[in-house]
Amino acid sequence: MSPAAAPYTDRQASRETFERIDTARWGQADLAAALLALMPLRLKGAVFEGAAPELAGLLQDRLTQRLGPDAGLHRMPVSITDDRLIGGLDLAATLAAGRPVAETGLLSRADGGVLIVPMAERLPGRAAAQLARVIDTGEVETERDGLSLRAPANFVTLAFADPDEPGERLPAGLGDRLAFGLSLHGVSPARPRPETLTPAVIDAARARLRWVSVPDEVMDALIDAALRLGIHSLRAPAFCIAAARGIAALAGRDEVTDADASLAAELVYASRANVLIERAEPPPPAPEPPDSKDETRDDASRPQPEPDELTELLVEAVRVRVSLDVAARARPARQRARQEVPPGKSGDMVDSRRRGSRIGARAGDPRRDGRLDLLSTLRTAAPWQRIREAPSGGAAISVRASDFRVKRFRHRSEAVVIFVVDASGSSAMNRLAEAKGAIELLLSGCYARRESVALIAFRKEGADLLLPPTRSLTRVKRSLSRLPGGGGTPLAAGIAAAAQLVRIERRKRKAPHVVFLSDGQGNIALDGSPGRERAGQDARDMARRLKSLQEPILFFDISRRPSAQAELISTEMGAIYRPLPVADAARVSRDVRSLLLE
Amino acid sequence: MAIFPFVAIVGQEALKDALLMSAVEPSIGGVLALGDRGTGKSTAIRALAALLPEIEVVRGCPYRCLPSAPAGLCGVCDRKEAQVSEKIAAPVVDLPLGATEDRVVGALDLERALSRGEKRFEPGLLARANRGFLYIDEVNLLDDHLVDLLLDVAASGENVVEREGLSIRHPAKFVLVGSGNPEEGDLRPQLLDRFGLCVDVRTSTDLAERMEIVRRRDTFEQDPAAFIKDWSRKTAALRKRVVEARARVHQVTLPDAVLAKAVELCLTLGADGLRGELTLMRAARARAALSGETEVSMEKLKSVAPLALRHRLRKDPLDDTDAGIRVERAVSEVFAS
Repeated sequence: MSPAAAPYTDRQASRETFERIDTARWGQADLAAALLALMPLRLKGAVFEGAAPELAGLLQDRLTQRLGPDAGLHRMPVSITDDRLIGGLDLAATLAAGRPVAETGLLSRADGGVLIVPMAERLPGRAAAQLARVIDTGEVETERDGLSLRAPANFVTLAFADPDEPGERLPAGLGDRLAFGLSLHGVSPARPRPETLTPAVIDAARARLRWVSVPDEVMDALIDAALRLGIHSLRAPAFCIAAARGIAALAGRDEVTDADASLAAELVYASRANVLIERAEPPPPAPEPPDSKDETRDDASRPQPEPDELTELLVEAVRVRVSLDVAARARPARQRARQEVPPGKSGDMVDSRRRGSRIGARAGDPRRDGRLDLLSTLRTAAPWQRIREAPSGGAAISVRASDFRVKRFRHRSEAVVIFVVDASGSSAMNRLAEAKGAIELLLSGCYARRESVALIAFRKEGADLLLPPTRSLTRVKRSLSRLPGGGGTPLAAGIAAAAQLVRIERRKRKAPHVVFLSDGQGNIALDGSPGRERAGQDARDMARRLKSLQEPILFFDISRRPSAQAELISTEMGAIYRPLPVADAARVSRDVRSLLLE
Repeated sequence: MAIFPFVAIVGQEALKDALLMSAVEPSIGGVLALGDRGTGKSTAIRALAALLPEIEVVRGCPYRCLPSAPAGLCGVCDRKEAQVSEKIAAPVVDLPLGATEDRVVGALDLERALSRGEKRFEPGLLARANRGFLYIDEVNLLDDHLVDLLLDVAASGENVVEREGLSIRHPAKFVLVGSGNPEEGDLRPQLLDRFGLCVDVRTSTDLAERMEIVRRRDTFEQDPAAFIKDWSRKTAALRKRVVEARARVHQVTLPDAVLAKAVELCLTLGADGLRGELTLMRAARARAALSGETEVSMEKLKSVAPLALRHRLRKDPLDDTDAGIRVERAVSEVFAS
C-alpha cells in the first residue's frame, strides 16, 4: 500500500457524508504539506482557506517536521513594515556602535524554513508584491537606508485565508505563485488521522524523485485541462506537473499515472478554476458528487485513455472538487465561528484613515512638508553621532536639519466609491447602464486617478458584489460588460452588503463612500422572503446600521417623481438626498465628485 | 539562481522584439510591459541579462564608463592616469521594491565618512545600471516620486545628486523597463507615454504553444544547467545579431517616403508630440538593423507602429477598442493611401 494512495482512496470513497469528505479534505491538505516538504523550491507553498486554527497549527507542525530539524517557523503579520520584512538599518545597534548596522528582515530569516501568512486576504498589495518577488527569485535584495544587501531566501509559504466576506480575496499575484490552494472550511481538528507520510517516506521519495517520468499524454492532458478550466496563468500547469511527479514519488512509482495526475489537478487547479465557479448562483444545498463520475474515474485508470479522455477526466475531477468546496462554504456558520466585528473595534482604524495611512518617510522640512517622522529622523541621524560634536544643552543626540524626515501618507487618494444599484424589475438595464456609465466617467474623467470604485447590485433575492473595489478601467469594462438584472427588490440586502463592504474597506484603511441608485421601495426582506412591510422594516434597520458607520453617503432617488419612501430611507442612513428623475450618468459622476469626494 | 534562456522563451514576440530593439538602440526610451500575471514578463526581462553581449569598462569605475569615452563625464575615470579596461556582463538591474531614494540615486558613504572622516559618494542603483537596463517589476506599486525620478534620469542620461553636502553628477544611461498589471490599477497617464515602447502581454490560449511553454519550463526546472547548454548555440547566434545590429543601426537610412508615412500615422492617431514620431523612427531603425537591413522599409515601420504608439493615443472612455487595434486600423488606413 503506497503512502499517497491513502488519501486518494478516501477521496474516492467519499459519497454523501460531510465527515468522510472532510477526512479526504484533510488528507489532501496533509498530502500538500508532504509534497511541499519534498519539493519546496518547485512548489513554493500553499493557500489554505477557512482552516480552523488548530488545523493550521497541525499543518505547520507536520510541514516543519518533514522539512527537517533546521526548518524554522516564521510568521508574517499583515501589518508588517518594509524594514521588518526585507531588512534595514538597526537603529539601536547603530546608535550604540556609531556606524551603520544592518538588521535582517523576516524574509531572509525565513530561509530554509516555513513562512506563515495568517489572514492573507488582508495582506496589502505592496507586502504581497515584496513576498511574490522573493518567492520568484529566492533572494532578498535590500536597498535601503544606505545599505545594500543580498541574502538567500528560499522558504515554503503557507498562506491562511478566511475570505468569507465579499471583496476579500488573496492578492492574486501571491496565490498564483503558490502551488496549492485548498479549502478546509468545516474540517474539524478532531478528524485528522495519524500520520502516514512520515519524514522517512519523504526521504525515500526525495531519492526517487529525479527518476520519475511524466508520460507525454499525461503532461498534455494536464496542460489542456488547465486551459479548459479557464486557468490562464502558465504557472499552474507547471506546478501541477511537478506535483504529479511528487505524488508518484511518494507512492514509490517511477512513472506518473492518471490517478496521480488527477489528484495533482485537484490540489492545484480547484482553487484557480474560473469557468465553473464564476457567479455560481445559489450554491448547491448538499454536495452531489455524482456516482457515475466516480465510476468513470475508476474505469479510466485501467485502460490507457486517449489524451482527450484523460483531459475530460481531469476537468471532471476538479469540477467535483470545486462543487464540494462551494457546498462546504455554504454550510451553516456554526463551525466556521466567524463573528462580525462591531464597528470601532480593533482593526477598524477609524481615524487613521482620515489622515491616510503611512507609507514611509522622506527627507523634508516638517514645517513645510508635513509631520515629522521621529523614528526615521533618528535613524538618519544615528550613524553620525560619533563624529558630530556633542549637542549643547545636554541633549543626548545631535540632530541636524538635514536629518529631518517627514511622514509620507498615502494621499487622500484612498477613497473607494461603492455604488449600490437597484437592478430589479424592468428598468434594471437602464439603471445599471447608468451606474456603469457613471463609474467609467468617474474613473476616466480624473487625470490622476486616485479613487477606486466598487459596484453592488441588488435584485431577485439578494445583493451581489459585481465589481470588487478597483481602480482599473480595464477591469471595470471587462466585468460590467454583462450585467444581470430583473426580479424583486431586496433593498435591505443591498444596504447590508454596502455596510459589509464599508467595513472591509475601512480595515484596509481606505475611505469608503457609498452611492445609492434606488427608489427606496424594497419588496424583499433580508431573508429573501417577499412582502413590502417586512422588507421596508429591514431596509430601515439596515439603513440605520449603515449610518452608524458614519461614512459619507449619497442617495440618488431614481423614481420618476421624488418619493417620500426614498427620502425616508435616505434620511435613515444619513445620506445626502438627490432626486434623479431622468437617467444621466454624467450628472451622477459630477455629483459624486462634487458632493462626496471634494 | 539559473536563468531561463531568452532564446528558449516561446511566444511573447512583441516583448522580445521590444527588448532587443532597446538593446540595439537604447535611445528608444524604454519598454513598458503591461499584462496578466504568469505571462513571463519578468522571465523575459531577467533572461535578457544572460543574452546581452559583455561591455567594456574602465576597471574600478563605479559607473562602468567606456574606456574610450571622452573626458569630463565621470569624476572617477577623469582622475585616473592609466586606465585598465575589462569586460563585464551588461548590467540588468532589478530594482527591489521598497528601495529607498538614497540607494537609488546614491548617497554619502556612511562607513567611510565615519571611520575616516572622508566625504565620499556611494553610488546607487542608477550608477550600477549605467549602460545597461533598469527593471521595475510592478511599476504601479513604486512610489510616484521615485518613478518620476527614474524617468527623469532615464531621459537625461545623467544622475545629479545634491544632498548631504555632496554635489555629484555621473552618467546614468540605461534602458528603463517597467512591468505592470493594468487590472491592479491603471498607471498614471503621465507615466505611460514617457516609456518609448509599450507591449501588451497576454497569456497564450493556443494549446500547442502552451504545451511547448510548460514543457520547456519543466525541462529547465529538472536540470537548468543542461537546458541552458542545449540552448547555448542559439543564444550565441542571437547575441551576435545584437552586436552586429548595434554596429549597423546608425547607418540605417530612413527614406523620405517612409518618414512621411510615420508623420502621417502619428497625425492620424492624434499621438501628439515629437516623442511619438521620434520613437517610431528609432524603433524602425533598430528593427531594420536587427534584420540586417540598411534601409527602413514600410514593412518595418508598420511592424513597430503598435509598440511605439499604442500608449500615446488619447483616451476615450466610451471607446472600448483595444489601443493596439486602433493603431493597426490607422496603419492600414494610412498605408492604403
